[in-house]
Amino acid sequence: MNIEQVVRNAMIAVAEISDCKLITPIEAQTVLLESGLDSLGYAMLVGQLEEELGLDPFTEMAITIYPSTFAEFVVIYQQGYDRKLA
Amino acid sequence: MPTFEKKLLDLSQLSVIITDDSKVTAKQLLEQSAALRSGCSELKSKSVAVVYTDTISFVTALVAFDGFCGALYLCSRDSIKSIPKDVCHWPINSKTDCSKSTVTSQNDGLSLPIKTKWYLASSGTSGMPKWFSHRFSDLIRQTRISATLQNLCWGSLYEPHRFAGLQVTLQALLSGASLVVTEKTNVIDRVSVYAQQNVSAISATPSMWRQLLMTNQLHSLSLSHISLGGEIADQGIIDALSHYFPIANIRHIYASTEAGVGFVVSDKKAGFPQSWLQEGVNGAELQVDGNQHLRIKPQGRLDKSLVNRIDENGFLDTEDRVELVKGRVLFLGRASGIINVGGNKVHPEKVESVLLSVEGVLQVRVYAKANSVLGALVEAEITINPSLDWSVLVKKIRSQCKLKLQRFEIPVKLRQVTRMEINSSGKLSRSNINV
Repeated sequence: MNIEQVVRNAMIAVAEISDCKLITPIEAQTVLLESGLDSLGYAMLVGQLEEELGLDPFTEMAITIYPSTFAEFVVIYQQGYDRKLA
Repeated sequence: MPTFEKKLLDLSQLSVIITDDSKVTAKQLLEQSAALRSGCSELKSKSVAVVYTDTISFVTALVAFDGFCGALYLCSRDSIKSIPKDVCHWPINSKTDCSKSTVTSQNDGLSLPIKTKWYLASSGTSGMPKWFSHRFSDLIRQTRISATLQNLCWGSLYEPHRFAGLQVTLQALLSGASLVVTEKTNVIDRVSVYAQQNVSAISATPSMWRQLLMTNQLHSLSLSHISLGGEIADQGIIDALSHYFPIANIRHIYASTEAGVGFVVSDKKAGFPQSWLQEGVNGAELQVDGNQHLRIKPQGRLDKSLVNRIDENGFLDTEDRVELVKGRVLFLGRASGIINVGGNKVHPEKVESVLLSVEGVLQVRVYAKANSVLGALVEAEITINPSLDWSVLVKKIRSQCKLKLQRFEIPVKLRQVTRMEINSSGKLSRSNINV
C-alpha cells in the first residue's frame, strides 16, 4: 500500500469536511501546522487514517518526537503500518 | 480581606505583562486601575460583566473592580449573552444603563473594599454557559510564591476570562513573575514570541501541548515549569514533554470551574496516587463513589447552585469518571456524556437536536470517539427514512450543522445505521463506546 498517497487522499477529504483550505503543493518539507489543516482538521486526519489503515501510531507507539513535516508524518505511519504487518 | 489590588501592591516593582507591542508593570496596572475606578463611580457595588477584549484592559478592570463592585462576571464576547439582564457591562457601551442595576454588595457599598463575587462560566447541559461564583481568596488559594517562581516568565495560551487563563494570570502577577501574552494565533509564531521573550513556564491543555510539540521549535525554549490542564493528561503526552524537558517541573492540574481549584499532580505519571483518597491533597478531600465518580470536598466554599450534587458530608460529585489501576486513580471522561474536544465541551443532546431537525432523519446517537490529537471527536449514528438517499441527506445534515453548531461540535463522522440500540430504561444508549 502506498502510505503517502493514502495520507494525501485523507488530507484532501478531511480538508473538505472541516472547512480547511490545503496549501498546494503539499511537499515533503511542508510543515504540517502550515499545511492549511488546523488542530481540528489534523485530529480528523488522524481519525480518518485510523479508519483506513487500522492504526493510530500516536497511541500505539511511544512517540516522543512529534512529526513536524509532511514527510515525518508519513514516515511515522509507514513505520506503524510495517509493524502491524510484521 | 485581600483584594486583587492589595495583593498586587506588594509586587508593584516586580510583576510585568509583556504584549506584542508593550510592557506594562504592576505599578502601571495599579495606576491605570485606580484611574479606571475613579471614572466608573456608577459601577460601585453593582454587578458588572467585564468583557475580554485584550489582556491588559481585562486585568486592569479586574484589579479596579475587585473590592469595588458587588460581583464580576468574567466574560468573552460569546458568554456575555448568558448573563443576567440587570448586570452592567464593561467596557461601558451605549446600551449600558447602570441606573437600573441592582446593588449586589453585602454592605450596599457604604465602605470599601466590599466582598466581590467572581463569576466564571462553565458550559451547562444545554450548551449555554452556567455561572459559578468564587471568592478571590479561593481563586488564589493555589497561587504559590517563592524566589524561583518570581523569576519565571509565563507564556499564556488561554484567555484570562477562562478559569485556566485566570489561574495562570494570577500565578504570574501575584508571584512577581512576568507574563507574556500575544495576539498571534499561529502556534509557530507564538513559540517564536516565547523564545524571544525567554519564556520559562507554559500552561496549556494536552491538545495545545501536542500542537506545540508539532512545531518542532520547542527546543528553542528553556522551560523549567510545564503545566497541563483542562483535559485528561495521558501518559503519552507527559512522556513526550519529559523527553524534551527532562529536568522541568511537569504538573498536570485537575481543576473544576464549579469546585474552584482542585489539585496538582507532579510525579510525571497520569492520574493521581490512590493514597490521596485517604490522605487528601492540599486541604481538599477526595472520594470515589459507587458510580466511579470522583467526589471532592475543597477547602473553599462551594457555590449554592451545586447543592443537588453535594452529599451530606460536603463532597461535590465532580461527574468525572475514574478507575483505580495499580495504585493510581485514572480519569476516564465525563459521566454526563459531555465530550471534551481539545478542551471545548460538547453536549451530545444539543448536537442530536440539530441533526433531528433535518427532515428525513429519524433517530440519532451522538457520542465521543477517542482521538490522540484532541482527546475526543464527535461522531453520530443516524437512522433515516428508508426511501431517502443517504448521500443527499448527508449534505443537508452537514449544511444544517454548519449553520447551527460550532466547528468542534459538528460530528466528524456520520454513520448510517438501520436501527438504534435502546438501553434498559428505554433510552438511546449514548455510552462513550470508544473513549
